[in-house]
Amino acid sequence: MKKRQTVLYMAPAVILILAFFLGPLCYLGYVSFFEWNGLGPKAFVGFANFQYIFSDPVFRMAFKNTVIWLLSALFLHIPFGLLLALLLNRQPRGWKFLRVMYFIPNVISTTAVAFLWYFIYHVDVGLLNNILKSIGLGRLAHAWLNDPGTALVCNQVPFIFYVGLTMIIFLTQLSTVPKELKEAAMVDGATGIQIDIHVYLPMMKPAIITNIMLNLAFCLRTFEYPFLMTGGGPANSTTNLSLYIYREMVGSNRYGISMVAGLVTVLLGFGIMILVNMLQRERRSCHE
Amino acid sequence: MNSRKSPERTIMYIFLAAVLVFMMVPFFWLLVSSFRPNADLFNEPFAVPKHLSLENFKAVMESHPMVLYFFNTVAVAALATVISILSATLASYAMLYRFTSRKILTVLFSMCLFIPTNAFLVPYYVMINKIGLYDNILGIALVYAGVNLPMSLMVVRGYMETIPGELLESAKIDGATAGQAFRKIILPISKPGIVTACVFIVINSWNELLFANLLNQSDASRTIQVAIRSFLTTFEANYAYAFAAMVISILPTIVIYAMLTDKIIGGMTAGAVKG
Amino acid sequence: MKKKRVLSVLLAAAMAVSMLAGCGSSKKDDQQKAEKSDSGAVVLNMYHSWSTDSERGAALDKLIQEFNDENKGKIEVKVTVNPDFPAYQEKVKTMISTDTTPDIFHYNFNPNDLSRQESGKLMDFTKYMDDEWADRFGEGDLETLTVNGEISSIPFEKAGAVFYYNKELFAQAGIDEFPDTWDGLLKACADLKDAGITPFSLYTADDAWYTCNLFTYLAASYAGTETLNEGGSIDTAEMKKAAEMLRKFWDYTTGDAIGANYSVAMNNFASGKTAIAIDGPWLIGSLTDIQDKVGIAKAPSFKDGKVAENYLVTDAQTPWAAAKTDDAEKEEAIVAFMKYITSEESVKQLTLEGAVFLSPKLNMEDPDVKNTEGLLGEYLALNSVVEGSTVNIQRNLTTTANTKLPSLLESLALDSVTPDEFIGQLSKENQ
Repeated sequence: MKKRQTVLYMAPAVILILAFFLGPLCYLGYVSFFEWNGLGPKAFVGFANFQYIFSDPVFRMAFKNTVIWLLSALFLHIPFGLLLALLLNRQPRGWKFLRVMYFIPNVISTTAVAFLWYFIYHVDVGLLNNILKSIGLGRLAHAWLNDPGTALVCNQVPFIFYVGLTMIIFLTQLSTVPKELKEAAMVDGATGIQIDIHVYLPMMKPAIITNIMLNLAFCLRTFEYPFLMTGGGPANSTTNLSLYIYREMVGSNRYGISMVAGLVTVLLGFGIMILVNMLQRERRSCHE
Repeated sequence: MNSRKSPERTIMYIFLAAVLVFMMVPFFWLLVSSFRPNADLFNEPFAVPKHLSLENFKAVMESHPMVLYFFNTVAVAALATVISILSATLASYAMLYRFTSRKILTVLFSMCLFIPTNAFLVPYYVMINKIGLYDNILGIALVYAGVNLPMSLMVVRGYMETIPGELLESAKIDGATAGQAFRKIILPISKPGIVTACVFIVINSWNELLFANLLNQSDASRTIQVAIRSFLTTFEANYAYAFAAMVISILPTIVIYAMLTDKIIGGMTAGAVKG
Repeated sequence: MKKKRVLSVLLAAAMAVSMLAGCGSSKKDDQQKAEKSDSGAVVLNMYHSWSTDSERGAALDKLIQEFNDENKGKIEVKVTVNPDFPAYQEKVKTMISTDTTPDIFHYNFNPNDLSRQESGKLMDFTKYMDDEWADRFGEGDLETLTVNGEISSIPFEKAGAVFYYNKELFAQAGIDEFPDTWDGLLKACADLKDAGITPFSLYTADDAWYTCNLFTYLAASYAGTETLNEGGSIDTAEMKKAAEMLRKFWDYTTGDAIGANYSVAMNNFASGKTAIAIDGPWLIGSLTDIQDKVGIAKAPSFKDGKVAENYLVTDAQTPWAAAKTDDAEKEEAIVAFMKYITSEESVKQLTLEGAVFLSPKLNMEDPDVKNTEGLLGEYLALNSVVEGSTVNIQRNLTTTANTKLPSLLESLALDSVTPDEFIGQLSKENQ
């Protein structure tokens, strides 16, 4: 390929990356040293914004909640998707239908899903409490989203539960596993679970890494669920970094502080990147 | 197979069915609720509905240009997908060849995957305003295209790299130019990867609320997500209308999905994990 | 082959869409430069939050149409509505910061957040403000809105938030009339609750306005409206007592109050689920179903003389403002609209048809006004006897304190902070 051609082919992607990632990142770094309300002049304050943020209990809460989101992806969402994929991979009757149905929540917008679940949890008109009451568990009925003890979990349930995309990625990988391997294992008298663990699971690493990457990136920037279901409340118990950034900027008009929170989020993202890279390297070395 | 009637299998069926029910009940409830008047919803949300009517749908369609919102959302998703995929495919192809800054760009692209773009509200807002695309579907689409680019690059590049190098070599020997090799050989083979990336972008664009809300002002560029949100945050909020609006927003996607199921899932099945 | 064709059709469609979008945007640019419509009229882009679905929005819309008809070929007001008021206000700020300030817009005035006025991007009406026009506005309103010697806002909406109560529900709990003391109200709430009725509509999301109305009424009762109007620190004994009392009332609200927004809390009252709400006159338009069952009551007090017998907590002033412009013709057009919308006739129409209460004076002697019946009549009557008033406390808090207010109120309601800590933290954020 000629140099001119390379430049031409690379140009759109590089321009977009510059405009939407590197440029804003530099801007972020710059503004984080200023006190700025978005309207007036910027005042240089050195590291004051950083100091503020690290002593702000709300920020600590937001950071903690973001980490909880990440963990819920790793330990609940992805394993659940894997489980469904392994089950469907056994091709029980109607598996194609189930595959289609499980994916449906993914084609419905997060906004609609978040609102829907807001109503499911609603203390009076909500589906959940009314079901509990009708099966005689009325004492469990609860203002789910209004209790700091349950609000965060409730925020995450739709995410944890709607695993369509994750499952499809696993299924894809499973479909590439040669049939002979399974057949050989069956000849050896292996049960279904043994086949899953010893034949399929070892082959799933690429799909697991893809899923970890996609889901962690999603959790890091998830905004719709806390924003629409609880607005970050009660008492900040569901505030995550996205929402913190948004509120500091749009609500408090403290752009500098918002930008520092943004930088912290970016750093967290790099932490995840390093983690995924390590996983990937390990995988490569396995192959070679 | 003799394991057909084993308890393990029964448990599996029960489990799969339970998952299906849990996933679908909320949507079914939404559907039923959308046909009920607001007062009923409030006072006896679970009594067997006495009156079902199309009233909510009529009211929503009459007072709000839902079709326009829907068209806007489709247009934004389509534009974002085209821009993002085009850039990703071209770049992925160029990166099959060696050039000096290739390594840096590779690292850069994968780093971007983990940059939470919601930290960039202000810069995006300022930028879109500067180029005069505020309150314009093209502005929103451009942001989506940019935001989704690292992911598209990952998927498309990941797929292209699994294409054996010999194919390109033999094309070269046959005298094909780089452009010809791209169009005739690489592009057709990479289709599964491209389709997967498209599905991702369409889903993401369809879902997005934060930037759509930020960059929208009038009906002309309002996406359906922003519209649904306004049903519950404005002074004249009405749950029943909100439910109807949600159904209106969901239904077309479900229909499209139902029609294209094989394409979407089939395409992803082929392209999601390679490399 | 077939797929290729599909792809190319898609591409072509996308191109067409993008070109359409491109055309749309370029057209807009042209307009902004020329500031003229096709007919040669000066175009004023107006941005406000009164949805035409609401009574007040419809009334305002009608007035704007009339203005456009009267000035055909000269001035044309083009309206964009964003009915989500908290989001609307944020957007206005962002628009000012990016030099896309709407020609005419309204906003919540806050003496502790003058960022809009100090941005230097708002038009100064001083030279147009003759005695005749100035005389139209309620006492002190124009002075309040004069910032750094500039009149950058025209007083408009300034409504009292009053106690609405559902007489039917009160009767069900055996209560004949709305109590005139706070202790009486607490007792009434307990009775309502015993009768299976949720007494209060409160909420904490967005601006937590209902809750802050109650809080301000309590604070005014402890400290007196004059003391509150003097401003100063909110870290006072009276405030702490008010917070303590607020906490007591929290036991009498709906289960969804924490995290609910205005529309949820308002719907709770309008659908007859709660018995009391503290809201502005615009609530009347939303009460269609229970209009006849609702009454407006005088605010309770402690009967210790701290506060006037008829006192009122008002919402912030919500004035009109305009973008600064070099175009003299446009400036004239803006002034013409401002004078029109604050005229006696406009105010009358807005009040009677839209149930809004404004700073520009309403002629109380006008027979139509005098004969207003129903809730709006009650509202006007209550307003006409007010002896002391104060602005809702939150409208004077800094933006930071306002953003923290919802979570602090939630902490108070959940007993994770004491009333004293609540005031302490709020006052810290307010510095």
